[in-house]
Amino acid sequence: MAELSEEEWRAKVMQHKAAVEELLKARKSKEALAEALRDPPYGAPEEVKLQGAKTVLYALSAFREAEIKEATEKLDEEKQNTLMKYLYKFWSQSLPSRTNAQLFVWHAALVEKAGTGSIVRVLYDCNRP
Amino acid sequence: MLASLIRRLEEPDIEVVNCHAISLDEQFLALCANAEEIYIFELVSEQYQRTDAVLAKHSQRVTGLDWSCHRRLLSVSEDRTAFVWQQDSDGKWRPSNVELKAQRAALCAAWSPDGDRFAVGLSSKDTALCYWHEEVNCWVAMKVGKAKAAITALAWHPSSQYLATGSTDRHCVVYDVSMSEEGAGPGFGTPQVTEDAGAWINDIAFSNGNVLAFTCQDATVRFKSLVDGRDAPVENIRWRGLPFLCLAFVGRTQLVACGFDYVPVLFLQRDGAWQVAGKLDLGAAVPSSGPGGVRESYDEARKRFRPTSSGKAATSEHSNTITSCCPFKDGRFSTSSLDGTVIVWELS
Repeated sequence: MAELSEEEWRAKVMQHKAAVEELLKARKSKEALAEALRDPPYGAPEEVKLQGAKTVLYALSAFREAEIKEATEKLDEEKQNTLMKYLYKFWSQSLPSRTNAQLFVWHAALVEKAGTGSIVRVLYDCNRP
Repeated sequence: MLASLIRRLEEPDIEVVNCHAISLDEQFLALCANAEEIYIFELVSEQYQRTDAVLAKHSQRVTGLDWSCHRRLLSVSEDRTAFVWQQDSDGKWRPSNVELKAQRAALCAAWSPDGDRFAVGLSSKDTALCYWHEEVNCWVAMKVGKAKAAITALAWHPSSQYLATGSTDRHCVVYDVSMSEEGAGPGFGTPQVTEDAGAWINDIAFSNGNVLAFTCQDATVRFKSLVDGRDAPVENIRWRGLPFLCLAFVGRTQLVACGFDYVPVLFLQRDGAWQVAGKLDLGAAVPSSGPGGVRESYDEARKRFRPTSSGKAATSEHSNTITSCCPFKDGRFSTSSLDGTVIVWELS
């Protein structure tokens, strides 16, 4: 992981956000999610990480409930683990309960695809997005 | 590939086994039932029979057991001591003293493959490497390495010149521990390879083909082929179940990992890449539910998070976490578990 300065992290996360919004406008929600989960800001200052998390949440909310399972199938192993870490991060943020409930659907689909190992990695992997 | 059960040890008064060791010729089994005493079993007509030997020199829980190729048993304990036991001509097990100089509990132990020295991983963030000192008639320790947290795993290189240590500071370090005639060799104690694993290291193993494998608490197994030098890439295999507690190579390209999932899992190296081959103990066949839509599998996933009903049939040989694993020749290995059993398996 590169050691970036705060400005470099901010710029990187903003670039990321722009790319994701672009893809969402073009209705490519699966690609948008993959882009949002790519290269998480491990090691960045907390407020930069929060911006990165907002981008992921924005990408997640573009899916209807029926599409969620298919979307998790398309993600590769690394992104599945990153998404699981983000889910737990969102739940710690006191979001409205309707959002929380939607996240549970993602959690169930992810556990089916990636197994309980992905939850273990949220707890024990020291890299936190 | 599956593994078949060769031998099973179950005693009514042994409720859990926190560590065990079987000698390389499979003749003797030593185990600790999460207490201060060590029980010795001997192989009699293909089953392990309890002998009268109860090794009771430790004053706290025994945390590590290992047999050397000369049939000496090493035991280490949380009471900061270690003993080397040898069987006398009259069948009694006699301990030799070890000057461990440990300030904290000993967590793991391993004999070098040539049987001349042994290493003890300590909670005081270093490793004690012990050799036999003729003049004082006991084993004396040299300290190796300085980690930032307790040493929880040890593995010797087959040449007995290098020692790999894994620690809860999330690093795995291989030290040069070669000795010359005068004492410690020129590079003694220098770290040769350092890997940051990102999570506590639960176990390490060296294969005969120079591959270093280590497993972490984040349910991954990582492989590094030292043939390609100290900067070789680390292959990270994520396991979909719970973390592994112990590893053992049962061949150059086969690794068995066991842990909180109650079953041993096999990893194979195919075309240079390591991958999960599968669980080695599938248990009784579970009737599969018919093909369902998205809704059905979502419900099944939710069931996982509800408390399971009692009376669920055990579907694996071990009914609790596997705590330690010892490899032998010919694709055989043994596992001990918190359900109080020790099982010897053979890969088919």
